[in-house]
Amino acid sequence: MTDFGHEERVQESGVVGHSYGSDDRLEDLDIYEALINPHDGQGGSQKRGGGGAPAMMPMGNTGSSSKAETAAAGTTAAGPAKGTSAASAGAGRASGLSGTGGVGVSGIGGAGYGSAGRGADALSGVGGTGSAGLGGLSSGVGAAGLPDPTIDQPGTGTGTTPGGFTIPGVGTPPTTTVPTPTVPGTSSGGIPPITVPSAPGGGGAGMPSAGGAGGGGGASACTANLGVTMVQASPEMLHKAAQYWDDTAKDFTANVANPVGNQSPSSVDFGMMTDAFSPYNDVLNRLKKWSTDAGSEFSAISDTLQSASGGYKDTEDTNTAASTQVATHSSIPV
Amino acid sequence: MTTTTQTPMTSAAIQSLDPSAVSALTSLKAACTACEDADNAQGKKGAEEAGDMYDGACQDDAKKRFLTQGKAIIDDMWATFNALQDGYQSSLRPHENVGPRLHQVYADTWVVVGQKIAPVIADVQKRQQQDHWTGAGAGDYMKQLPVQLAALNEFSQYVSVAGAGVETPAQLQQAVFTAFVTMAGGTAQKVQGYAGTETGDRYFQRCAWAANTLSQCVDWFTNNLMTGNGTWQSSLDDHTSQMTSTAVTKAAVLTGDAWPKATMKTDTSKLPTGTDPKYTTPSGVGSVGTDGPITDRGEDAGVSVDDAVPSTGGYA
Repeated sequence: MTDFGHEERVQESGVVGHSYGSDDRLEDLDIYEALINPHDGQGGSQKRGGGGAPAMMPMGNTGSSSKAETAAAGTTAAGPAKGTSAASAGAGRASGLSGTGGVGVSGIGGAGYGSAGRGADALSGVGGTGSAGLGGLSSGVGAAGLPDPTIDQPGTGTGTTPGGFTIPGVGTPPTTTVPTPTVPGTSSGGIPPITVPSAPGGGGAGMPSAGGAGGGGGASACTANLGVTMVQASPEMLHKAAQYWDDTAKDFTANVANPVGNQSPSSVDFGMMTDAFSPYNDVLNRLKKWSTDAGSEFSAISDTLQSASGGYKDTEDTNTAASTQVATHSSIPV
Repeated sequence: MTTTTQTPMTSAAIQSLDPSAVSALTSLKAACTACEDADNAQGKKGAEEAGDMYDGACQDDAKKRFLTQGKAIIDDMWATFNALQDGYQSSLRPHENVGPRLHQVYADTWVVVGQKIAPVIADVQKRQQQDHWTGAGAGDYMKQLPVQLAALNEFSQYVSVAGAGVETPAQLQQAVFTAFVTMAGGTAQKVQGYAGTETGDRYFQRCAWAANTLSQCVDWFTNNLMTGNGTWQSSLDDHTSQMTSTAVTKAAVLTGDAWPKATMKTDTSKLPTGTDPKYTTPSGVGSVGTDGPITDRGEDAGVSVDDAVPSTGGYA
């Protein structure tokens, strides 16, 4: 759990792939966000149009300092079947939310054994290999800054990080040759092994695209190259923020706009001070308009936040469902 | 961004001062009556004294002339009193509820609205500290907050302006009543003092003093209090000047009389950082109620026994 109460998910020990309800909870949702401003004429989706389905997975470049690459990696690792599913799920969110869902798609591998905030090098594409094709949630692990089991507990068995996450009991070497995925449907097959360099912060940038491994990436460019930035969002908090603005709008209308709007003075009301009526009435009329506009604006902010919250939530649900499917069909030996 | 809300302050309730004005006029009338009674009582002796100065039919003529002169003084006093009372009844009394009603708008609407806005401003200010959401969209959202905060702050300032828009006239109108009550009450005390003054061989002197004092009150009431000249008009002018100043007419954030809608292009660095008040209560408002005529008894010497002499004429 983060400070804001949303769940963190990571792959459980001994499980290849993800299972709903246990191991795909992330600290942060690595998904592209919608621009919240309802008045931005360009619209978020136009601005983030490239976020639909990043294809490349620059293995070894999933360091915490490069969340965008992490997400891209996960997406890239996506296999034809699941990867496509995850990507499309995300893409669906893209409409109106500036690629909200399009992003967030990432390979399981990134999550499972990903360097989790460490150097990509360490991360080894083990997970990515095995469960390519899952979306969205995995790369968030890296973003969450989870310790890399391959570094902190090299060769150890199942352990638990200080954060309470289960570390896969796989003695992943710093340098890993990624085996050919055996998960049905997660790979188009015939993928040559990918050797991940062990140098910290190394080969990520120059790594060949993992699109070949995943096979389903579609897009040819890494998201990092599209200028997409990683975001952190809590749908629950966004929902609360939306609720706050909705409440504020209602309260503002009831406590400010209505009392102000009910004022209808006349010059007679000012007795001998009739000179004061006109300037007061001018200010009053402006306040009437402002107070009405304010209520509308607060409602608009609420609506947009609510929409964004729903978008993030939908993406998370979609990815969770996708991970459940993969876990069900996964045949990668533990 | 520094936030300083200007919430209209609650002030003491304003009530109609008509009862006080009526009471002051009643006291003034009683004081005038006391002067009349004292002068009449003294005048009887003066009339006898004037009659004693003559023989035969001339005695009655001397008495009549003496008393006629005294009655003219008394009538003049009452005429002046009535002018003051009628002026109040016809010109000022109709506005007895203006101050209370305007103040009620201030207290029940603007003070309350200001109090309702304050926590909203505090909440929005606090929400600028959120860190559960980062990214471009979050940045966009966070860009909204200082804009909305600045708008709310300025709105709050305008609420204060609106509050002053009714409260200052209320105070001024009330001050007019206060000034009248002060004037009438003070004059009543003065006239009552005249009634108890020993005037020696001067007759109907008390009513002559009262008439002179009341005449000054009527002049002040007519030419100053009811017109504002030298009393409240300068404060009202100051008030209207502030209400129509560019600080009020030209909003800094709420430009175009529209609530701001922050966009990605909004330059939040240009948002006003200060909360300089758009309105300051005119300094003279509080002193208007203490205004009043500086009256004196005047130089009228009343009536003497010698004034009853036919050849010398009389007061009237």
